[in-house]
Amino acid sequence: MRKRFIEEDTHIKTYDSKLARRLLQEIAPYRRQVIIAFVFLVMTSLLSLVGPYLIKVAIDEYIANNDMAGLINIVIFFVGVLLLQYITAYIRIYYTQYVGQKSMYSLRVKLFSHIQKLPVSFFDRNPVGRVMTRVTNDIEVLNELFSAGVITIFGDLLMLFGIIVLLLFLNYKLALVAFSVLPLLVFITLAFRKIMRESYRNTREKTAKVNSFLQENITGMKIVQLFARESNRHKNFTTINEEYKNAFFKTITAYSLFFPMIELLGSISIALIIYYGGIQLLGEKLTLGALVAFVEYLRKFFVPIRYLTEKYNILQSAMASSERVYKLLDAATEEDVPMTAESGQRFRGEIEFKDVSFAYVDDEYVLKNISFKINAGERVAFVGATGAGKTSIINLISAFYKIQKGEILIDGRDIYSYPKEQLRKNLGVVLQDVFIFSGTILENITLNKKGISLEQVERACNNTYVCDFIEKLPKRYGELVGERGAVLSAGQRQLLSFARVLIYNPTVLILDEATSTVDPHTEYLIQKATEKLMEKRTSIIIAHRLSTIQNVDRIFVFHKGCIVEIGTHEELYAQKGVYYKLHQLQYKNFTSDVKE
Amino acid sequence: MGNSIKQYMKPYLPRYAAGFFLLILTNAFALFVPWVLKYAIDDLREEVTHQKLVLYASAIVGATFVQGFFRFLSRQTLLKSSHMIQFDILNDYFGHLLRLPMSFYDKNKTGDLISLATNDLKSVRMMSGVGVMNIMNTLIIVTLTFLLLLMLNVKLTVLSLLPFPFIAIFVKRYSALIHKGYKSVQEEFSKINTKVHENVSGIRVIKAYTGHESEINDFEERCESYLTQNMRIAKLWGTVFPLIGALAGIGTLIVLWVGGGEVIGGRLTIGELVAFNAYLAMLLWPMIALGWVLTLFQRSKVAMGRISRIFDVEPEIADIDDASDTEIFGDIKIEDLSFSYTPEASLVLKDVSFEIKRGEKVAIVGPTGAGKTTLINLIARLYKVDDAKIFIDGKDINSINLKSLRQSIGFVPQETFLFSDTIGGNIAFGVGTASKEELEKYAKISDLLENIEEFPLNFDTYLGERGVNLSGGQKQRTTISRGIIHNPNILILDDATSNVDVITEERIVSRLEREMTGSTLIMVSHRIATVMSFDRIVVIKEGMVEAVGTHDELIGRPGTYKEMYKRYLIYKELDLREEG
Ligand SMILES: Nc1ncnc2c1ncn2[C@@H]1O[C@H](COP(=O)(O)OP(=O)(O)OP(=O)(O)O)[C@@H](O)[C@H]1O
Ligand SMILES: Nc1ncnc2c1ncn2[C@@H]1O[C@H](COP(=O)(O)OP(=O)(O)OP(=O)(O)O)[C@@H](O)[C@H]1O
Ligand SMILES: [Mg+2]
Repeated sequence: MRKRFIEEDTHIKTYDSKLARRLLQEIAPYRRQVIIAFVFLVMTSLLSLVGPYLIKVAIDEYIANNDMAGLINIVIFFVGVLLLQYITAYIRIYYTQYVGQKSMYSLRVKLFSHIQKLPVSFFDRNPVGRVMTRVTNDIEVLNELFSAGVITIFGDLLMLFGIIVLLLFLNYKLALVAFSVLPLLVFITLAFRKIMRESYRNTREKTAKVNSFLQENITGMKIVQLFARESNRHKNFTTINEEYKNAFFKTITAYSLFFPMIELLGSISIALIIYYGGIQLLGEKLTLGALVAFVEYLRKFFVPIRYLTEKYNILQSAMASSERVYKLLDAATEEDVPMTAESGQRFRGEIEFKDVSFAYVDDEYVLKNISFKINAGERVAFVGATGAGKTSIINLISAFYKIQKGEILIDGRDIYSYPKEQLRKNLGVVLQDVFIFSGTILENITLNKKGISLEQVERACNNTYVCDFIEKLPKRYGELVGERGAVLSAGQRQLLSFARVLIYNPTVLILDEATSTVDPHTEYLIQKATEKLMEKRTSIIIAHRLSTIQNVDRIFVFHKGCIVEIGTHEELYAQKGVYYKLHQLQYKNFTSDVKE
Repeated sequence: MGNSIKQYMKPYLPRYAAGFFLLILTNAFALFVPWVLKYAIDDLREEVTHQKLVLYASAIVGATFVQGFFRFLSRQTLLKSSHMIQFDILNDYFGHLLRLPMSFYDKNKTGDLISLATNDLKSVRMMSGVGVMNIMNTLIIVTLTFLLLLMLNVKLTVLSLLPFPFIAIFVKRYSALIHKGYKSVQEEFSKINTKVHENVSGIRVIKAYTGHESEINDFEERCESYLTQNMRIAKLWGTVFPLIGALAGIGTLIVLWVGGGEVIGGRLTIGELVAFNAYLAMLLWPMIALGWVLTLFQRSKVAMGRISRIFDVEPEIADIDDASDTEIFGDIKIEDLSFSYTPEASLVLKDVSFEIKRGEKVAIVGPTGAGKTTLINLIARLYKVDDAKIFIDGKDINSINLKSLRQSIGFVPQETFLFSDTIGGNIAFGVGTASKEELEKYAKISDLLENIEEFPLNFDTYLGERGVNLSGGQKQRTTISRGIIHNPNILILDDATSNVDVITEERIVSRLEREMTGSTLIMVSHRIATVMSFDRIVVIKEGMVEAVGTHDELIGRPGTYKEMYKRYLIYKELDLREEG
């Protein structure tokens, strides 16, 4: 097996007492409502047992004795029971829903907040779709468990138990005869449980496959069409779709078998009652009403068993979902230290790497024994071949990953000893990978933070040339940009992502190829305009176009995970090394015959 | 291509008919049991023999067995049909998506499109399976039971069924409310979905700008409105569901009261009373289920409506009838091309005209947002082009078979997208599979081979989503290899080396020139040094062609290109000065 970069999904257990306990903790804050719901559940279940008994009494005491007045009393009593049943059911439904909805609301928010704290490496390895499913669908499944499954399972079990007791009480011999099918029932249920678990696992797997296929091919639709791979993709999808269908077919067959089997057991039980009850009746040991009640109760006994398996299914998927939800909740968050009174302090901006080695995966080192020091307020540039490790350095300064060896210091203190929030509030990073949210331009710049007004944004953008394109849009800052900024040009997207740093006021400014797809003229204007932004700030600029890094104090040249040259432009140029070569290429074909 | 559920159910009508027939048989045997009970009880009241008891008992078991057999078959028939329908819809859905143009994807969110294929389609499937089965069942049971009840006692039947019309009215009224409720719940849920999708996709930005707090607040708000909507439905359910049970319970009550009177009056036997009650109880579940099925129908109607809206989108870029497979050589002519992304929006391209001969190397330069990407997107027909605006080999682009057009174009888009497959798989995307030699050859052209050889698994290295585990330049170069592996006659590079250093870029361009001789090369670039040697340079500004010419021609006249060049020179001179 080749190792996939994306982590495998978890496997499914059916029942796990630890998980169940954790789930119960989610509803702990709603103890009162749970108790109310439970009490009313018990009442509904018990009330539903009254009916057949009333019929027995009616037959034996009144109908058999031709007592119409007594019969009417029973009927009136029955009305009362029905009314009560209605009220208790309403209360039960309302409160179970209440508990389910409320607790799932909290769990969902808790999960979402937890996700915000997970390290970047987690997101490298877990596709967006998967994380999304945890917060949405998996919690929805749990919700179903609360509102339809768990509590009613209690009710069903209670009713089954009640029926057993009642029948034993009515006529224990007959009851024993009737329940002689129980061992078989248990056996069948257990056997099916195994089959259903297997088929459940299978359907889940296939569903996930369909989903991730769709996810990837819809996001990559442009590529699929550009390369005319439609028919190939469609063929692949048909295969996956077919597997998906077949997985469900198996489940259907299992259920189709199970239902009639339970029914058959039920009727065997009733047949036994008729036979033995009949004999007893002949021996005057049983009343006709009791026999009728027996039959009624048995019917009531087998119906919930049929539905019990359906609920078992809910239980099973809920267990699988909760396992995944809790696994995500247990995923280690970024190591962080709490904010303190001093955390509001701003950095001076001195950055030092001491013999740092770093690998994203196992021991595939992408940075090897890197050491350098950037002074507070200094402007440096990182240049070097692609894949040399420039972005990785930025990732480390942002404390997105942990290093394997060495030390990174900011203002002389270990970077991991700062609260992440303090650290990142001091860093203004324009990431190489542009990401645009599908809201408005303004929301993309402020990132929905409260208290940043349009005026503030406009002021910050003013004269920076970054936001010029926004002014030309019909709705300016209110323009909707589509998913991932679909309606903007690539350069405009990059500018938009640049604009975020303008209102951020960091002490360290980091531009990772921040204007690489912007035309040189605009880039030049921005460069001039951001001079001011860089004043008194430590700045790190990564760029492949050397014109972008004209005004830096020092240049670091990276090569295959190491720094090979450090120095001013002049020094490096004179050195005639890597930097010199880069330079020569960029300004090749210089022909002095072009005269003004 | 159909878009109503009826159309999708049509091919399975025979199955549904068979299912219906099987359900009749199932229920007939199911209803046989209380009838046996009736005889048994009445006999028990008077005289009964041992043999008769055995007969009754085995009749009950036998009938249930046969019933079970038919139930098994009916479930198999009906429920499997629903999955076949789901299969068909899903297949058509994806097939349809494959044909929709980029303008569609600009407007629709991936999450929504997936949710249609999962959540909404599930509603449709449930309706066409469990839903239809329940409806059929209800219909059959109600009819058969009604007949049996009439046979037992007419008066009792009429009286005990009195509550049922109320149930019907009631269910109808409430199902409308519940339907509305579900719609809002669905909408709120999809908002949560979108939020999480955006948040997780952009998590690096949120982290870098410590935006988590406002994200959490925003999320909380959405969850709250979802909660409110759900509680509204809960209240409705709480009212409807038990009430149906209670109303039906009134039926039992009437049986007991009136039926008891009839027994006392000697017009009914106890056995008949018991059977009557048993039949009435049999009506209860289907009636309760009916309420549930009705909401199911409502939901699936909404769902199918949403799905059809996608099916209704015409794939505006499709082959006209006589579009034939043709070999394309790469002469491109653009005539008075104007374009806007939506009819309301202003023009992005205005009267663009120029020509490219086969084998030429043409650069497109111009400011950010000028329309360069738009222009080349149109050459690949990613958006709808008016007739007689773009000609390839002298033929109107709209009359060329889409597949042959795209197969002869190698396209490296500005925004890199990689699949979470192996690197090799990504490079070979356009051709399906490729030998190691081929992969190496094309990886070498884009100067990627060296990097790949450093990875322990070489071409078998798996990429994360969108290629997260590659550096920016590595991603770009992978897409370049992918764009050339099928040896296209037209190669289009949209700013495809923006994240690549100049040394590497130089190598890539010269290798492309060497390896792709004869191919037309169109390259969007912001780097003067890269484009100055090209046969022709097209300058686009604000959607218009500002100038077309060779480097030497363009620097000879005032304009954007000359400005670009001047800036380049200034830097150059600056550097020279510093050097000296
Ligand atoms: N998230 C990641 N997981 C695993 N490997 C990674 C990850 N990000 C980058 N790499 C690997 O680390 C190496 C250095 O990548 P980095 O992004 O730092 O390069 P870079 O110098 O910024 O290159 P470029 O100029 O192309 O952006 C590359 O070989 C890349 O494959
Ligand atoms: N899918 C779209 N829907 C609507 N408008 C769009 C869409 N794509 C681009 N635009 C708009 O069309 C104009 C031209 O965009 P285009 O992507 O062609 O620019 P470009 O010249 O390629 O720019 P860049 O150098 O930044 O890549 C821009 O103003 C942009 O906002
Ligand atoms: Mg572009």
